[in-house]
Amino acid sequence: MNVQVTHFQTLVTIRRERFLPQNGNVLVRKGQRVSADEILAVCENPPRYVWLDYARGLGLPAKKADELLQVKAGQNVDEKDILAGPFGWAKRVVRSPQKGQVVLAGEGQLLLKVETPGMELKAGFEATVVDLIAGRGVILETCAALLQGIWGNGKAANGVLMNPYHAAEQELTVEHLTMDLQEAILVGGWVSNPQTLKSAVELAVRGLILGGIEAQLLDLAKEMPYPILVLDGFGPIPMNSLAYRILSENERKFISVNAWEWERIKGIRPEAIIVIPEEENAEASREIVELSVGQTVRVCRSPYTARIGRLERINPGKTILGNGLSVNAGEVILDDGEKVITPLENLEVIL
Amino acid sequence: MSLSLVKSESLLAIDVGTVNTRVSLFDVVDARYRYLGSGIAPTTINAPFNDIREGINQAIENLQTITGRILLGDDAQIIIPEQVDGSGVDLVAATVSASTPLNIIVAGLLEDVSVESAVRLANSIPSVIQKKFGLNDHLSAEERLNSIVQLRPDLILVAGGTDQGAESSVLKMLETIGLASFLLPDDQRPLILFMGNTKLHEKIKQIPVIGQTIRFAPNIRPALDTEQMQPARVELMDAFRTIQQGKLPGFSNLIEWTKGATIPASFGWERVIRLLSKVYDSHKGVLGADIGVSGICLAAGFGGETQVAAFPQYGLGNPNQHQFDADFIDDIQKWLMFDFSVPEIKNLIQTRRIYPASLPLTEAELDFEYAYSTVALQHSIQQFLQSLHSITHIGESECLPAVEPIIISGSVLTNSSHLARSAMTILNGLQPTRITTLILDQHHLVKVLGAAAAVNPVLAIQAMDFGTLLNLASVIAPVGRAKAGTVILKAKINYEDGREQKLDVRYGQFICLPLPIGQSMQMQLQPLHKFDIGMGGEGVGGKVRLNGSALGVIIDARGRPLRLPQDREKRRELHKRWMLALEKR
Repeated sequence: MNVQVTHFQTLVTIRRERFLPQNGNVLVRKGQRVSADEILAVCENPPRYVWLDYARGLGLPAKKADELLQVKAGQNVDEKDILAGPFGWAKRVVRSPQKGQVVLAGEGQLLLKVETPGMELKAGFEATVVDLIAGRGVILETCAALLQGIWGNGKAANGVLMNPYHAAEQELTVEHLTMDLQEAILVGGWVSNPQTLKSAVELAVRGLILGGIEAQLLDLAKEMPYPILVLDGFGPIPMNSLAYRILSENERKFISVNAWEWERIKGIRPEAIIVIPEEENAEASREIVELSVGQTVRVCRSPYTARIGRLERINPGKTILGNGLSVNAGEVILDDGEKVITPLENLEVIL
Repeated sequence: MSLSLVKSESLLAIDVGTVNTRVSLFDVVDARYRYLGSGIAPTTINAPFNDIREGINQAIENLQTITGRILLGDDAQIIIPEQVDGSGVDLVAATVSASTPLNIIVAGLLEDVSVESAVRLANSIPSVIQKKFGLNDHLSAEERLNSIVQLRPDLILVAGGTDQGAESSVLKMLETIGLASFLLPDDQRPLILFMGNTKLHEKIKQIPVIGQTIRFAPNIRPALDTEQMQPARVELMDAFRTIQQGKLPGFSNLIEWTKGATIPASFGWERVIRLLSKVYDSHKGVLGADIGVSGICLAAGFGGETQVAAFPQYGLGNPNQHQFDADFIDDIQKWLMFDFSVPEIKNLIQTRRIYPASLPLTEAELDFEYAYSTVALQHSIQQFLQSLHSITHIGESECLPAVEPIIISGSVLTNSSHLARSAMTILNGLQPTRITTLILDQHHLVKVLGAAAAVNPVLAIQAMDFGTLLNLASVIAPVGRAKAGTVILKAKINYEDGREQKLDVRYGQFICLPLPIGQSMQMQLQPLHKFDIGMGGEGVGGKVRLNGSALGVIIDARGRPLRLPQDREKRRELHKRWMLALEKR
């Protein structure tokens, strides 16, 4: 049975594809070392169109107005350029409302394409460009500590990692947000109070890495200007022991938090990366592995949510759980030595 | 059914679901088609595979292990046809519910006529309706054009104009849609399906920018008071295939293996329900419900006419704001036996969204799964009922019309050893009326049999007859209102062993009479106080023979629609009493 892998690794070789949503220009070259904020490629966003009725503007029938058309399809125009006219004693004209390009013109009507601000594709972490995908993007590679999350608020940032209260099993509250944490990326157990998220904005925090967050705060979390990366679950869920140890060991180091939405189809996952310079022979990261006995696993459902353990046994056939469900199950020894039976579907392999 | 209709054809049915891919093998045994077994593997639509073939092949390998029959060749292709050595299969049919819902823009003229019908058609497959255009939406052509360019739909459904009806407003709408489509990059152009005034087809083809992306279907509203869905469904199915070939890696292989017999899972349900509605009692309909991670699918058939609707908003694999609505969560709380606060429910919903394949380990979380399914079924059926009157021809009602049987599929109900909880979820969710039978699709075969029906309808019918479906319970649910405790139904029961039992059923009661599979009973029923049990009208009774089932006969006299006490403790007390009635049968 193939299962999802989640990385909480101190050293791993990470390869990530960075793609534009449509064709554009790639700005970097193969072999180039790029910083987290480096713009790798740019493209246009979908344009906006303005539909102008110049016949009505001139007060003329379409055929007559066409004779006074000053532009043709494909022509670029600036704001206030004359599109049609002049006509009559008042020298009536129709001007372009914005800078753009004429797409179609005739029969008294004109369609103007107006460019919208373009899109920039950033690296997201310090890495080497190992390959280029013409017009669409690049493949980046680096050696790093990697922590993968289960939810992100769609934002990304870099900064110095700080662990304000040194406890994975405590809620991050407003009281923990002191002035010395300004512009840092903070580690916390979980957040259940909206005021904590809002106060972090006032403190100009550059990001939060949490074990858990109350699901009812997710909409607010998406509005925050800084990235919020959730590693373990929803509710008052402490951060898992492996992730907390890695983050604690790397306090005051530079960390990149890419708290993107988890898009399974594209293989995009929210994650935090601490680049380890000039390391070689680090194992390559994997996304899927075959579930087998002896692996380190994390349980994703109550009552063992976010608990790390070792898969001791895969039960043959179906197991009837205490609640009556008939499932494929396994025996896991949790990090405190407790032995539990859980459905295999509730396990992720931790590397 | 005549045995001579049975061709010696084996069939592999593939269902590519959001979480799992199932392959099921059918072949002729003792001159009848029978289900031989299934193989299951996780669906591989996501990275790093990004190709549904991997999951299909893994599921087939599992099936090979179970049945001992070789189905895959060395080239990892399905062996078609069946070989002399017994390897391979003659036919392959498939349903697909994996992949993200199709993004659809719906356009029409009148909001409550053509636009409504087009929305109904769009809802028959998992879809997100991004925007609706109509005559009275106050949108300018520029706004419509920019909507299409920004939203980039997969499909635009255009209805409007009865035959002999409106022309110029339809053509104007299509000119804008065609232009917007033309302005998009080649690989992002939506398919346009026109299903309005049939007289306009030639004029539409002459619109210069409409291009190659337009397709035509017969008018879904040929007259103001007539809705004709079936031909448009066929075209929609074709559009679905075309779009998925571009979006879903591996889908083209599925089309090749099945020789085109690959359909959306919802249409698989629709086809089976259509077949059954022709076979069963013509005075009643047939209902099918599929509860899955990708949403709920409902299909109903009355005398061969069908309605089908997908409700992806209730699938925990399709996160959406609806699942966090206060009313929706409030409804879930009404059905919970355990204490869950609103934040706890939201946390659980969010966990299920992130881990759609995960399973409840505790009693409390299993309770949540049942409560969620109950409410999702309730909300879906309420919306579905609004579209049913076009095929039942009995006007809109807040209660389900008489249907027989009700077939239910979904892991939440079939994985459980608590059949009583499954039955309770169905009864509380769908709230069937009058006399019906609940049938559990325990091997998740109904939808694929729908796909199989296109290539071998005899197989589809016979495979359902023989052990693939579980007869869960017979249900008698009188419709009417009375004071609690009033006798509303008198029943005289004659068992096969000669025993006789008389029963006075009071309003509010929930009774379960054991009747094991293989036995039957005859009931003489007399409804009182104008209650309707579907035997010819209010207060009309009669005799009915009921066959044995896993749970027996349930007499559900709780009233329709079901009304629960406001007080939480009273509500829980009732739930416990009802469950006890089912479990102590």
